Parts: sequence; C-alpha cells; structure tokens
Amino acid sequence: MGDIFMLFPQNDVDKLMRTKKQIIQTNQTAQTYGLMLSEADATMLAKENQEQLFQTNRIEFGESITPQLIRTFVHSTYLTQANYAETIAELLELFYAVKEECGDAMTDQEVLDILLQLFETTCGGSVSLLQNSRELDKLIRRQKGGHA
Amino acid sequence: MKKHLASASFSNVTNTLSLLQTAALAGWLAPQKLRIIKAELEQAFVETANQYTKRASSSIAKEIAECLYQSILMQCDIFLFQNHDAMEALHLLAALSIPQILAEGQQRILQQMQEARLFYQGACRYTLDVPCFAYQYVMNEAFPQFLRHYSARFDATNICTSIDYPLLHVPAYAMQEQGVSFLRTYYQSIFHENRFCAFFEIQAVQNLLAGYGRLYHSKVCDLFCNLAEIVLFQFLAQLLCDKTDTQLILTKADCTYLYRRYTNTTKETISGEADARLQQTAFSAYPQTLQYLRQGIPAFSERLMQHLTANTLEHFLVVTV
Repeated sequence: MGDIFMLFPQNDVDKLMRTKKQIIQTNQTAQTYGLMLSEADATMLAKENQEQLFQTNRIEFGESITPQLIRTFVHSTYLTQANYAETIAELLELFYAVKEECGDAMTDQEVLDILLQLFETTCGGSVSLLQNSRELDKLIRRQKGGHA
Repeated sequence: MKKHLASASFSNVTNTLSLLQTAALAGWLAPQKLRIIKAELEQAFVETANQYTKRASSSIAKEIAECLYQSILMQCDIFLFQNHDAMEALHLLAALSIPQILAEGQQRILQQMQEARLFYQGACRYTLDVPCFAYQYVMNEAFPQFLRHYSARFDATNICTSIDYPLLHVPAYAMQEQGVSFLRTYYQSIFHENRFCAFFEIQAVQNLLAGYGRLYHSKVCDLFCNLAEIVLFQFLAQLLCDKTDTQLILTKADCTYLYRRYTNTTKETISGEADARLQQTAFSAYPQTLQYLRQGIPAFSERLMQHLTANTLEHFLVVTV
C-alpha cells in the first residue's frame, strides 16, 4: 500500500506553499480585528498542519483546514496578536484530535463550531481547558452515538 | 513511447500501479504524460474523497484513503488488464486519459456485477440439498451480503462478505481477484460445480458425502472441502472402472480392478484415460462446465497414483463394502 502513497506524496512542497499562501490571505479579515500572521507564522502553521495529519494518520485532500479554522476563530475576543499564531497551532492540534476521536462522525465545520462555542464560553479562551473539557468529551461521544 | 519493449520487462506488471512504476523507470511513457496521469489520478482521488465525506471534510483517515485509492486503481485495472496483456495496457494508458479509463472501468465493474448476479442465480438453480455449513453459507448468505454492502466507488477491492469455502481447483484465499471480480469468478466456478453435481441423484451425493465424512471421522455438516471435488474424483474413478452410471458407488472389486489396471502406469496415463472418458459423458453438452471439470483431472491423477502406490485407495475414495 505504501506504493500508492509514493504516487501521491504526502510531503508535497507545492501543497505546503499553497496552504501558506491561503493562511497569509486570512490576514485581510484578521487585520480588522488587529491580528496578523507573518510569513514565518504561516510557514509554522502550514507545517503544523502536516505534522498533525501525520500524527493522526490522516490524508488531506483539497484545501487545508487551517485557513478555515482561522476564519472561524478570528472573531474571538480571546485572541490577541501576542497569542494568535500559537493559539491557532494549538487549536489545529485539538481539531485533528477531535476528528480522530469522533471517527469522522462530525464534519469539519461541526468540529470547528463546537470548539469555538466551548472556547468562547466555558473555557474562557483557554485551549488547555478546552483540551480537558468534559463538555467536549460529552459532545464527541454524543456524535459517535455513545452515551452522553 | 519506445517501439521495442522487452516482454520480459513486463513480467512483474500485473496492475495499473506496477505498470506506471515500470513505465516510469523504463522511460516507456514521456515525463509529461506521466505528470498528466498522476495529476488526473489525484484529481479522481480528491473527487472520490469529496463524495465520501459529502464535501464536508478536508481530511480522512489514512485507511479510508487507501480504500478510496484502491477503488480508483481497481477501476483502471479492470479496464486496462481485463482481456489485455501488459503491453496492450500500456498502449491504452498512453492513448487515453484517466477519466476515460475510469469511465470504461466503471462500465466493466457494472458489467461484472451483472455477470456475478447471473452466475449466482444460475448456481442457485442447482443448489445441492446437503447439510454442509460452509457450502450452504456460500449459497444462501454470502452473495446477498455482498450485494448489501459492496461499494465499487469507495471500497471496490473489498468483497464485504466472508467466503472460505474452497473451489474445485483453488482455495478461496488463493484467488488473485478482488472485489466484484472475485465474486464473479467465484460464482462462475460454483455455477459449474453445482451444474456438475446436479447431474447425479441427490441421494447418491448425500451417501457419498456421508461416506466421505466417515473416511475423515467428520460430520457431514462440518466438512470443509469442495463438494464437487469429492463427487468428481469418485466419478472419475468410477469411469476408469468402466462404470458410467450416476450412482457414485465404488466396490472393493472396483478397487481391485484399479490396482490391477493402473498401479504400474503413470499419472499421465491416468489423466489421459480419465479425460477421454469424461469427454464421452453427458457433460460434453456443456463445454464450459466440461472444461472447468477437466482442470481437476491432474490433481485426481496425482492423488490416485499416490494411493495406488501406497495401497490405500480406501483412504482416498469412498468404497462400499
């Protein structure tokens, strides 16, 4: 099976560059909230995305989730320029953890909406609280059809 | 493309992926064409993945991605390699685009699905009334389960059912085909086997299986061997004894005759005589079934020769006292 993935390499440099460009483009919206990602931030986030895909044994097709995640969270009042890139990277890690945990029972946007809702309310803008949130566990289990 | 391709270079080419890898290494396809093929395959994967996730996810688990990739490649394989050798497959790959190849492959998958269904229905017309669990599972449950769960789009290489019952010439696990191709070939074989067995009185088949069970100290329901093989071997031995009836009965006198007539011959002689006699039976009216059965003759001759030499025919054939 490895042969197939030699045909479609996962560490695609072109894709990394495309993702980086899409991340930079989110600055147009983010600037209205006083937020901005540098070239180095964009590279870090594009690489972080690839790393999380590798860690969770997933294959990405089409557009990267990173710009969509940024667009979902950019309105958050808990984001500041000082923690912006780092928080997005942590949320990216959490996003893939949830996707893996729920066994793809939730769409990308459903996962992002749940993360945003908890981030904005019970977790008060803390990703570490979000990571350990019982509410998040409950929602994932509910989506998987388990006990809430 | 280079005009002279050494046929030996194709020895490891059995599917689209190995053809692409070999063609890339040997320079049989221009780099530009290879890039186009790669891009078109990737495009097909992205579209399939989008369909799988209902366009609501940007990533999928690697094991799902593998199933999707394999489904796309199977669509290519089924068109490029069904009825074509590797050289012809290469020419088709060079001349057609991947979307064209996939469209042709999808048509052939549908065709194979239809053929598999017809073979299964044909096999059902001749289902044997025998209490063997593995056989009855294949006849009653495996195919409907396949139809319920098979997905040519997302998991084309999976048969989505459990088939362990062996065929006359080959164990199910040793068959090379995958997905619907496996089912088609498998039930085509079962159709020929059932049609052959239906030629005999069901009571004769049941008695034979009961005797076979006793031979191996096994209940008939637990027999895990090909029923047509048991019937065919008994019938071939019967033919070698100049008995053409459908009772499937061999006596000790028949065994004595077999020892006397064939112990000092070769398995080739046995094969030749068994083949000639089989062709004179009523099965000549069904050339494809006859051809299928003939493939079992070498194994029969081999085993008969072994038991003749070891003086153990009664451990190979069901002998009536």
